[in-house]
Amino acid sequence: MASEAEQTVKLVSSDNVEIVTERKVAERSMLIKNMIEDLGAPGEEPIPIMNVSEAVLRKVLEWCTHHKNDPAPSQDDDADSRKKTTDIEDWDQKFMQVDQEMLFEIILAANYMDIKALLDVGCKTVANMIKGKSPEEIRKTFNIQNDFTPEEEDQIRRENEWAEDR
Amino acid sequence: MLLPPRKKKATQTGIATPGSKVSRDAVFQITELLEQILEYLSWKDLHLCQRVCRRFHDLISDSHLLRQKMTLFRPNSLPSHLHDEPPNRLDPAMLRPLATGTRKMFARDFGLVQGQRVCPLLEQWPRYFNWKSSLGRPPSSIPFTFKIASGQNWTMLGSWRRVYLTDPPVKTAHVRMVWSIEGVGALRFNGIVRDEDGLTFGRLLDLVLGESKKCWTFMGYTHQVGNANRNVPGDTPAETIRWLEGRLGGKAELRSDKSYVVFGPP
Repeated sequence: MASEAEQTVKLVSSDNVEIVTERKVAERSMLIKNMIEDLGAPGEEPIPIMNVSEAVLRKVLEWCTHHKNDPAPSQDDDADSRKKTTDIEDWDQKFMQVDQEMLFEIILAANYMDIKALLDVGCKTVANMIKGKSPEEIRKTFNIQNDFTPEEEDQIRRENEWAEDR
Repeated sequence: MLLPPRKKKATQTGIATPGSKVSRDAVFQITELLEQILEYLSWKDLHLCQRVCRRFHDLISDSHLLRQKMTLFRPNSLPSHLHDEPPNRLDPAMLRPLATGTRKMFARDFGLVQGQRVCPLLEQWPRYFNWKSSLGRPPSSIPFTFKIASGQNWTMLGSWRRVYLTDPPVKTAHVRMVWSIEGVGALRFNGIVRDEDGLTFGRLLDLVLGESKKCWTFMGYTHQVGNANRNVPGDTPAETIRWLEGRLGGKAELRSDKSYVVFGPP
């Protein structure tokens, strides 16, 4: 039997494409890690990743490959990373230079596959796109519809206008 | 059936593509995800985000965590008169220690404890508060009353109302305003505002807007021909200013170099 380091697992994307990857890479995903532990005998049974398409899954695995040797975050790190720094390391920043559709797909996939560090990077990337923008610029950036009535908008603007002085 | 391969759009991050609508909406609809994104923003950005759309507004209003970040309030110290306002929390990270010179001056003049910190609003709200730290001068001034004379009303609903002026909160502040009508004269007001639960920006503004005349001493006004009678009409500084503007002719402006707030002992 192959040692754990050489073990591979088969993943199946939502569009039914089989992807074989290193077990260590796949186990960056807590979802997959738990499934492997539950199923036993990794590598034999393909693991369905039901909500993630091939293109997104490959992208996510690319991230997992780069980060496969990262230490597992401790609880303390977890609290610390919540300290709202939006700094993103260079490799991750490049990795996130994708169109918006892919960016949000990655966030959804990271959430579904339970890859906390990737989810953090995705959320930071979106936060950085919001930072320093006016409400109208934010709407434009994400193609969001302004669904306030003019009265509501005026009211909220008056409540928050003090924050506009930068 | 084989679909033609979707054209890869070579857009950079930050540009909305028509196809991104579904996944983006999905992310924004999941409360935990939107909250996690917004958590990385500063309190200023959060206030602006409330104006983007209902979804953002409601999520921010309902999120204890985000509200805490926005109101700069101290934990476990919700004064009774603020009970009908949303929960308040102060994020200590939002407060900075006073600069050494300023702290010394505070300590000397008002006996403030070391480590007293001033709400960052005082520094980051330059249109309304001029932060002056040179020795011998009052620590801050409040040119925010420009709006009184121009007849615009401050909204009383602003979330800034619940922000303490300092940490730890002080109970007293002295306010002095000088309004001048160019080439004609000047008006002086002295006031003290006190709140046993700790002073907030809301209370300070109540004073400046002249919620109660009791807080104010009208120090008289001067004009070209010398000191004038202190008995002037008006229940609030704003009314007095308008009356004088009408009488002397001209528009009164707050002198930001001579108007200031001084915090009393905690």
